[in-house]
Amino acid sequence: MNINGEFIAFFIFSVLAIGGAVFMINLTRVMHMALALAFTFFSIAGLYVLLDAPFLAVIQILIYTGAVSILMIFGIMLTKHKDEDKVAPFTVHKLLSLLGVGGFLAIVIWIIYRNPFFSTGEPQAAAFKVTDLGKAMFKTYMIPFEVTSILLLVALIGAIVLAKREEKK
Amino acid sequence: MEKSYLSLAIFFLLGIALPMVALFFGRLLRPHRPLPEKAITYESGVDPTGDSWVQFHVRYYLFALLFVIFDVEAVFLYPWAVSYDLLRTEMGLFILVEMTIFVLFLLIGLIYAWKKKVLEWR
Amino acid sequence: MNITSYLALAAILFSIGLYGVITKRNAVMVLFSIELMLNAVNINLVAFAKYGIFPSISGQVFSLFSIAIAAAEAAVGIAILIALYRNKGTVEADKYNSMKG
Repeated sequence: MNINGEFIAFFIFSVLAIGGAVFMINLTRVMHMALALAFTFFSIAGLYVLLDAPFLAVIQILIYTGAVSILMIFGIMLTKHKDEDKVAPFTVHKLLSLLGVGGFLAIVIWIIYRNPFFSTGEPQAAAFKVTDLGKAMFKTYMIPFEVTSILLLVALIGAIVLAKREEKK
Repeated sequence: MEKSYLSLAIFFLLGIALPMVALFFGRLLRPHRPLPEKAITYESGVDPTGDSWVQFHVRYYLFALLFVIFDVEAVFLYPWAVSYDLLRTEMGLFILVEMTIFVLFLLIGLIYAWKKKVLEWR
Repeated sequence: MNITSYLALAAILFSIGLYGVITKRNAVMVLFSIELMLNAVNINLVAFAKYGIFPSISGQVFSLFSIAIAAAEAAVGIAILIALYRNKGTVEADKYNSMKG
């Protein structure tokens, strides 16, 4: 693997993403966890830029780093987190989970690195533009696009019904 | 392409560096004399007791919810607007109808939220 | 760069998310971990859109749909959490055991 700008950028972004995720798991305060997760989302946006998807990078920042993180922070503010300061003990359940997830990761990495299917060498110079994205989305995937609007409508109404109940009393 | 990302990266690094440098010089220049009197409650204020946590009202969440849903709608509107001319020649007016259906569904949600008085701040 | 690096990164992020889902007791943290897992899957989709055997824009379109659905999922998830908190007075996932037989 030759060292070039793309490799360095990938290395930085992946270290930031994994670091944010590990901090998210290990921090004790919920608000710090939310910030670490927002940081991970931001690094993933950088990875999208490397993957020739600048539009998706902007979407990632707009929806994940902006909207979903805000939503999560509101979820934290509206609920009470009493025992966040004490460090949770390392139980048998956690050890078993760590072993299980570690085994899963090892198997997946083994499959990824073993399979000659993926390592086909140089990628084609497929520079996608936003117009290509729009063409695929509004022509080929027309029905999923319309169904997404129904899903968003259902999510909006459902969340209002679930969250608004207390004002009636 | 590469060059524009380079300028973006430089802009980003400058954005991070500027507040850090400002705070670092502020720390160098300001006097640092901690006294125990400085930590107590101001004048005749009462010492706080109990938890600092308060129950936020759920209507904050409902505004965040509306923001997220219409944020997602805006995300779908952008590629539509960019590729409109291209698709107009290929598909005719149906491309307009398609997006109208999409917006109408979300408009129903907005009207529902309006009727349920989510948009009011009482 | 090749696809293997991206897939390995996505696998690591997915595993961290999975570990969080299994071990965290706070329901908000479980939702965070689910979002992390969804992001790992999105990285895979975008990586295949560029480096797959048949590079095509479909991966990015799927990823866009996935992001939109994840936003809706987070909205409903937090709303359910608020409703549960109102009824039970806690966000500990272990305490939500009223369906236990």
